[in-house]
Amino acid sequence: MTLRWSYALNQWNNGHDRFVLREAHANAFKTLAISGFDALEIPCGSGRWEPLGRKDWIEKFYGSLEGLRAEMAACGIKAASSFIFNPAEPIFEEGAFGLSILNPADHSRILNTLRQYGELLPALGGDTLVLRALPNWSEKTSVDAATMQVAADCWNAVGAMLAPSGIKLALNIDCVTMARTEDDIALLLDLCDPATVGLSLDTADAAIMGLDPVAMIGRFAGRLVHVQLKNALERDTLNEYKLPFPDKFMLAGGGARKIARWYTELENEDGIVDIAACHAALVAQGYAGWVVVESDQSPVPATSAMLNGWFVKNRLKQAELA
Amino acid sequence: MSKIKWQYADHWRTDSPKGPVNQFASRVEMDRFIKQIAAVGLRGVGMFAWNLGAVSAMFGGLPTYKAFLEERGIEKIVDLFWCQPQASPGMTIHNPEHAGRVIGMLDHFAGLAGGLGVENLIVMPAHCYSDTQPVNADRIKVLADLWNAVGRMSLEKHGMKLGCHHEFWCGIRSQEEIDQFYALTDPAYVNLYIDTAQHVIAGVDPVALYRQYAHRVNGFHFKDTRHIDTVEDYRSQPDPELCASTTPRWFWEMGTPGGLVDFPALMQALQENNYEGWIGVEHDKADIGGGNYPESTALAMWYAQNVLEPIYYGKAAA
Repeated sequence: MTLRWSYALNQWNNGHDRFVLREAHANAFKTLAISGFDALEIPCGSGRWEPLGRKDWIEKFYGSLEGLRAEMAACGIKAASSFIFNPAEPIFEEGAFGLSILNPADHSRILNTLRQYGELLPALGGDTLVLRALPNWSEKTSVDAATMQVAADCWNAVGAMLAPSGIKLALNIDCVTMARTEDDIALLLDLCDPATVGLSLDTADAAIMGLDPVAMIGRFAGRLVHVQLKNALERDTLNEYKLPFPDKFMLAGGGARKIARWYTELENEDGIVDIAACHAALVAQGYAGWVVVESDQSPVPATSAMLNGWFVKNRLKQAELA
Repeated sequence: MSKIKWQYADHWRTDSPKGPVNQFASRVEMDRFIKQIAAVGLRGVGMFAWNLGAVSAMFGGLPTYKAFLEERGIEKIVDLFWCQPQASPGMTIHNPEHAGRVIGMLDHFAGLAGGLGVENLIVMPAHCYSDTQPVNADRIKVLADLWNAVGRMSLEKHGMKLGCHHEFWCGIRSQEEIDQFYALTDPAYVNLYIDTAQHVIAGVDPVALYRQYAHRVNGFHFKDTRHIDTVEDYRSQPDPELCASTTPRWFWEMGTPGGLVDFPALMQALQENNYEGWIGVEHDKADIGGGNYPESTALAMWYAQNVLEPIYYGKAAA
């Protein structure tokens, strides 16, 4: 069985004025299609910051979900494999300026926000909702059973809500979240319903945290339902995930070492992720979820898509056939 | 095997921490360039003749470069391109006394590429219009004699077909001038290499031109434009492609909104004339105004495979 490939749209959207025109959407769809990808992953989000991130905004742009599906198909894209949601991002349409999975009072609002994806994902041919599982690291919170239970309660409820629509949840741990070890991740996963909630592994973020993504593929084989396949150039050796606003000061600003770019294309010779080994591990265990190639922080999105497309077609897919 | 194959014509530049760099900066940049064009379905490259030396030095020889291309899905260098936009006291193309220098230079470049399977030697057959003036029958005859000689040398010595590529600002640019030139050149040695955007800008219909000269066409640069030169921008100094009064950017990728080249009609004409071989995709100055070469190339190849190939192969939607 060959893997199911997709590509993350987030590399195109670097600011509220970069990915607004329908022509920009079509250019991205066509670039992905001609580079060999026929599915894509869309970030959830709000207003002009994520024009395709919500049902109401998709309707503003395309009239209906079917309108977007038709535009994607006209460009050679068969499906939106997945959407990815971060509760901490503002949702202007709902007056939310940062919800927390660790605050039980926010849970009903999170459920209400995510209800729309029960319609949206199947209408666009997808089946996976990726969730930023936990907030940023903080001195005030710790990864313990009680805290993880609060998060698990909400994700289990979301999973139960969306399961009838055929949607699986994938909990994503990025390199600045409070969960720092495989055991942290296991603690949360063990509290979540395996029938509806699984793990999303980002190979680059794992490496930046000092984790071994190949080992994680093995350990979490039974729970892995989504992979963001990308490479990284540096490890967070200074523990800068503890900085305030680490997405800005560490990932965008580069931290004390002034890292120019944390993430990179799959084949980059300076990359610290053994992409071929990750891929081989997925194939070996018969992984059935989406493999979403991602290259956020790309200085030239088309270049990243084309280079990743070349590598997937000429190296990874060839290996699958061998 | 495909009856048509797509090749990419050399222009490429991407941003880097050092500022813009092209594929000739390093093997790393060349590797990224070749993989990007291969990823979107291109199978050959066109090269400026004067870049052969740098590539040879980078790879320790051009045969090694050819192997490098093949490993990444690119078959070979298809075309070599040469031009001299401005006349100079030492090299004026329409000066019969300089014919030997032109022939010698092109003999040298073609010789460098020996054994690589290069199919075409492409030239701009005159300097810019301002430096070619007066463009009259006598001057066109001098140029025709030169290119007859070059074409003979190129084909008989190096196995490369000479193709003449008429920029909108070239000394031979209008339909009348083109007709005079091809009437005076030998079909056995001098071919027409059609650049779709350049002809449209000059007010020449590339579809009609192809149908007229189909038997003498040895290749194409497919690119689009949104402008026709109606104010003699072709006379702009010092460089009409960069210093024109009406637009900062002449060239766009195939399929661009507002594009003036009728590519579907051209593809239909190719099909009707049983054209087989390479079609060049070119993006000259694609990064003016915020665009970039990789995206232009991806969009052009999407258009080529999804719109043009179905027309050529008779699979277009009704």
